[in-house]
Amino acid sequence: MSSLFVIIFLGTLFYLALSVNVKNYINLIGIQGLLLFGIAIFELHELNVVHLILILAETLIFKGIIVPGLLYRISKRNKISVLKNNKTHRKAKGFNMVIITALVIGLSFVFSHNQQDAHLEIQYFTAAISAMIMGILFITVNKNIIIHLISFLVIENGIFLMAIAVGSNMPMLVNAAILLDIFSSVLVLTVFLNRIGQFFQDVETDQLTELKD
Amino acid sequence: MISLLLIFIGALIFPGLISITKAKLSGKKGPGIFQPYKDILRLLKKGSVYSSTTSFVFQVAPIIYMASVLGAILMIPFGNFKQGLISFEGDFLMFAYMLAFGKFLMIISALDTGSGFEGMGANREALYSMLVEPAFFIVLSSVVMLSGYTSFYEMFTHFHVENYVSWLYVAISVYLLIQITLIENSRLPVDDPKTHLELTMVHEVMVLDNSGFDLGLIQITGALKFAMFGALIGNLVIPPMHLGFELSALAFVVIQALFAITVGFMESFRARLKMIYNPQFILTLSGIALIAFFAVFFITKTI
Amino acid sequence: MDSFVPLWVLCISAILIFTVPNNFKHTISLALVAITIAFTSYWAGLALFYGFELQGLSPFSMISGDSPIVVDKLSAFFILVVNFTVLTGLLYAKGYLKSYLKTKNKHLMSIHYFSYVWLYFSMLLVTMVRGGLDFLIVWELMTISSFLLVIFDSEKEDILKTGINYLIQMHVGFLFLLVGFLFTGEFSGTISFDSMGVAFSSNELFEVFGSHGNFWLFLIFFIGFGIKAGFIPLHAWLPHAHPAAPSHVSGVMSGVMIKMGIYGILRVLTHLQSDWMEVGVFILIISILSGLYGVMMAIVQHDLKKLLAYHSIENIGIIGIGIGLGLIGIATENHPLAVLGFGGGILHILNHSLFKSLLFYGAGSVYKSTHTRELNSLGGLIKSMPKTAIFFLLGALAICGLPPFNGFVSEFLIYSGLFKSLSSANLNMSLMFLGGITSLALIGGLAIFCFTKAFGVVFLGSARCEFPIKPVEADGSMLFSKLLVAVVIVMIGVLPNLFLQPISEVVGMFVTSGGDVFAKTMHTTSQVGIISGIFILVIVVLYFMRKKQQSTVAVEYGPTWGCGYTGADPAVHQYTATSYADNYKQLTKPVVGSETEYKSFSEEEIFAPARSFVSHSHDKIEDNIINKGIAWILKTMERFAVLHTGKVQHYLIYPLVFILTLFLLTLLNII
Repeated sequence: MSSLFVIIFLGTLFYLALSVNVKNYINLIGIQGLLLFGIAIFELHELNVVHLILILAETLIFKGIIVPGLLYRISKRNKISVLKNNKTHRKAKGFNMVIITALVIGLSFVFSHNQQDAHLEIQYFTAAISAMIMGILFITVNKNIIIHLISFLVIENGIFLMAIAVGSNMPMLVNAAILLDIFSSVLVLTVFLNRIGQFFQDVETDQLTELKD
Repeated sequence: MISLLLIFIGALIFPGLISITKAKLSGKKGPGIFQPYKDILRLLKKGSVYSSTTSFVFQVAPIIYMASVLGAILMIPFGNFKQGLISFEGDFLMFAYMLAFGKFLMIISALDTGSGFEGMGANREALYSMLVEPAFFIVLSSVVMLSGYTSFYEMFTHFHVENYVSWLYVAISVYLLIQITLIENSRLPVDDPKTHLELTMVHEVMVLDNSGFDLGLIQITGALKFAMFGALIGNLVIPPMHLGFELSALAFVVIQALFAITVGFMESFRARLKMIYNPQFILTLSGIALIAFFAVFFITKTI
Repeated sequence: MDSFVPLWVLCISAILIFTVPNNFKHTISLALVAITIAFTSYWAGLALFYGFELQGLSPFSMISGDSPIVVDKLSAFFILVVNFTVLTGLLYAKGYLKSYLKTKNKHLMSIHYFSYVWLYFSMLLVTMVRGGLDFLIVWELMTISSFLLVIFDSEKEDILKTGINYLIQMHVGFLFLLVGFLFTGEFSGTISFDSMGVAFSSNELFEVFGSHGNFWLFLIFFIGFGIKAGFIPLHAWLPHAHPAAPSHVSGVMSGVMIKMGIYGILRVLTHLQSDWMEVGVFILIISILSGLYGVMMAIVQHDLKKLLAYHSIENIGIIGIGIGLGLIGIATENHPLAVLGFGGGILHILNHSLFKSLLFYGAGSVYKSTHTRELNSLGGLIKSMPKTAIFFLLGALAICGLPPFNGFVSEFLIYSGLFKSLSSANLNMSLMFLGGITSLALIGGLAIFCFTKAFGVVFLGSARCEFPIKPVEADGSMLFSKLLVAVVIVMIGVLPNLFLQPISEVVGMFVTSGGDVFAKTMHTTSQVGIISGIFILVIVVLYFMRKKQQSTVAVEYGPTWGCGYTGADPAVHQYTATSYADNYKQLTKPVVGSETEYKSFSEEEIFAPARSFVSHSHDKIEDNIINKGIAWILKTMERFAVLHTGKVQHYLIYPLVFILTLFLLTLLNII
């Protein structure tokens, strides 16, 4: 059953690579959160109750509901619906993105299969590596600050899967730290954009760099 | 033989069902189910006008196009009950290349007219069918992986669906096959058969100069092609349901009808993609097919 | 030595070509070639069908010691392929060279025919001789005679340049072969193919090259032979030499000469002792890349013959995919894969020699009647040259691997091997096989894209420019040779089993226990024949149905539909080769390196002057490896040019310095 979620998770990565619509990105992040919730239910049932509830709450409530909700608010208030000026999605670039995504997923599949570790759950490992690489890739090819945020969330999802892949849950403290990081970044950005969003037509990092002068 | 018959039945109801669905969804009364065939029949009786720029290529292309699709249909089996008229190891390769042959002729026949529009359509058709080829082959490879056999009949006979992942796999494959069918038949996300602007057409603009009998043949071939892919989808879905012979035959037709209605629905609620997004859309199918291929590893527990 | 005497006599009597007048040169070369074909085909038949291997001693034995000549099954197969293409090439040459008889003097024609005949002899000898030194000699003869053929039109400056480029690259390959053979001699004692088995298993090999010694020694040979065959990134000579040569020579070079590289690789492979897997995977990956790169570059070409030349790279890739799979099959003891891989690869050698020569002959006919190879100025030739057009179409369908023609059969074998082993292999192998399947499918799709473009633009539509002399149908002799090739193409497509039997004998040299696999495959391929028959039947039935229908109704002819406006010249509105490839170019820009030169309109220009639009593409591999390498060498050499002062006094100082250095060094006991 859980490989079902992994396969869909890989599918969301493809969608992420191709989408130009901010709403889609946010929905996909939400879906990923729900998928992780599903995976957590099926994989972590040996855990003690408190931990389990915490993790389930993290995936379902935080990843699946709160973060997408916040992002929705940001995009709505700042009227960002479609990525403008996005070079990655113009003409042939989107075409290349498909090839790159397929390569990333394929290679991480081969890579994780060739790991000689009996404890490793290969399917999660594949998804984890591809999610992390794709997240980094999105950040490098995109300028939009919201996409950066979403990419961080994808990377975080990758880390979560990685923890499951190596056969144990993450130490509570690390988990909390990462959560806090991401959460604060979302919060900071929300506040930031709410305050200054109206002065920018588009939230591109280039424009934000000019701010410091 | 039975599959041939079922595909013909499918082809008979296919175009009518699509147009009825579309009409109902847009609040119109809609034509009768056989209206498309009445039109084709009228075409078959008409005289023809040939462009004086064209050569024999233009004249033989529709015939070869139809023959290639008929030849390909011969290889399609009927679920796990009956193999196609001709069945051998690797027949699906013959199937794919046979269709490519017909397409090759249609493309050069469009170029034969020396019209800029038709050249454009031919070019797009060539590009899209080239891009969709890998997706089709990856889907086939995954079915071969899963069943361990290399002919249509054996592939579908030894295709077992056991757990959730297998069903997900079937769902992905069916989705892919539907999309491949739509692209191969130049339907909506890639090409809009109802568009009136030549610059946005793909398949329609290629046959602008065909008339009379030839045009009739091309339209029949289009319907046959649809039903043929519908039969492939049926073959993928029916054997795991373990129905009897008669029920399977019924399910076959029902799936064809459902497929037609799905196409009608999709065409009613979906806009055509921008031309520049088409290659990326088609290539994404290969990517998804790759995921389906990985899913087979999860199913067979090779990893 | 005795049984090969006729061959030596024929080789020497090639000098006769110099003695006869211009008009008889073709006849006498044809006679020579025909007699040789009779002899060699007999020998080949003996080996292939009766298993009798003719043996003798090479004439070079006096210098290189006793070195044998053997016609075994592998040689026999290549001899037959060479024989057929050389014959059709020579038949074609009669018509093609007719117009040159007036402009070229007697000696040039003699040299041309002489080198053609000698190219033939040297290719035969390449497949027969076994001694390393002999092999290198005939290999060199082959290079030189083909060089002389390439520079036939040497009045044009760039052709001579291309020829020299070719010669140099071939000698780089020669160098690698020499190194390879010297290693063989070092490890086994004698420099020959037969001792290669000893070399591949000798201890010295593993001491020098490490545990994967077989792979590294093979790699040296692969580079040497690969330059001839045109695997990427060793292909840089190919897209230049083929367009420069006259068309019958291009046909022979692309059809069979580059296959000598494949022959060499296969011959070395028969002696390989271990590392099957590494070598197989290596060849498979290089071949997949060659196949994809070749066809991707082919699409953006404007020059018809250059386009075909890039397709040679693609087809070498397909052959290589077959061979690589065969090796993987041997390594994993997967007999079906081994048999089908080698079988498909070897059959594709024959197939490619057929359709590629046919296409080059077609391109030659087009060039001869229009004097251009530029796709964008051709068009509508099907009306003036219908027969040439049909043969070109046949070749195009065959090269795209469409049934019922020969290309399909070999690709079918390779595909079958891949699909059959898909489920039994481990994950890495499965993914590699999937890569093979996907790239074969993609190569097929791209080839269709390319040849719809080539055929459509050259032969269909209306003419794109006026030619001073109206294009006419090609000469009878040219059409006859095309007909010969076309018949074999269709025969292989419809009756593949006739040809699979001898192929299975050749495959038997690599895979010993694969007989039943072939029997099974032949059953399958006979089904392919049946369905092709049904296909043709349906076409005929539909054709007559339409004929009957059209006899009762009016059939009219009019202009092409022009969107309501028919005033303009239809030729101007047609799709050109450039526009056909445009959307493809946008997608593959990183690979094909296409560039456009166009200045867009600015706001100030109210009355804009005429604009020009130029687009071209670079072979990035050639740019980065060959051109940059040459530039580097030139730059380095320039530093030494300081010494080249032009004064005799300075030149005399150099030997003096040299002698003094030697003296000093001996004094200090360093040398």
